[in-house]
Amino acid sequence: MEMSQREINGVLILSPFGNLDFNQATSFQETVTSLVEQGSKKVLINFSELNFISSAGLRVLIVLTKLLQQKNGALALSSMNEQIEEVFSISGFHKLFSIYQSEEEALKNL
Amino acid sequence: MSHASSNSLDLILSNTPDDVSKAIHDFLVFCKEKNFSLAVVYKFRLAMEEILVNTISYSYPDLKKHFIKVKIRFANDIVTIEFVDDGIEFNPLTVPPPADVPLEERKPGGVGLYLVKTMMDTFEYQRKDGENIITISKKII
Repeated sequence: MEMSQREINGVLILSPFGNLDFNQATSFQETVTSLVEQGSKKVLINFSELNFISSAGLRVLIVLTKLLQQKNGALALSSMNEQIEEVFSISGFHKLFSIYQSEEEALKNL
Repeated sequence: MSHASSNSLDLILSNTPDDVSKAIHDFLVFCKEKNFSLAVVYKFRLAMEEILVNTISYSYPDLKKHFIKVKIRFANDIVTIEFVDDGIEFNPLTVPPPADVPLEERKPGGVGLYLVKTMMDTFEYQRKDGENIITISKKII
């Protein structure tokens, strides 16, 4: 999946592009898992370039959180569009993740 | 395979991920022609993916090739989509909502169909003549 990567103050910031759907979920999971295995403990996923997420994408976020918990790391999410926010709120996933309005706000709390 | 007239789109796909992607693509083209809002397109795109991926993943334990029919209709500001498959009987209405439990105890599954049921105005299921028929609809204005 197309994605930009940056690191600020030890936080790995990932901005996936386009659609985190059933087609892209596996490649997204492989990339992110390998980055965490290489040592990234604090991960922020900036959703500003993401148009769409389905339950396949939500599942990857659960896998990633569990992996980071094992390593005493943390995951934060930021900058969701209105539709993605609704998916998180209907599914109850907004209670399971640390979600921030902006990347700056997320970085302050990670 | 697809057939479209101004306010309807009929698709027949086989039970493969590639065909699901093509069906979703054809549906998105239809939505664009109709100028549906981003919010409406998102909900129906999600419904197409969740229902079709669920069908190709769980309906065919024989692992053989099957066909799924999708009929999309747009009339009186309501979009209706009917999904017909000849897989094993599966009533999505019996799937419970995701349990409100901490992340460590979350099990995969169930979330996708729950999202669709919540986002649509109607969600119906019928088992008829050896086929599963799911019909969803939503008023879009």
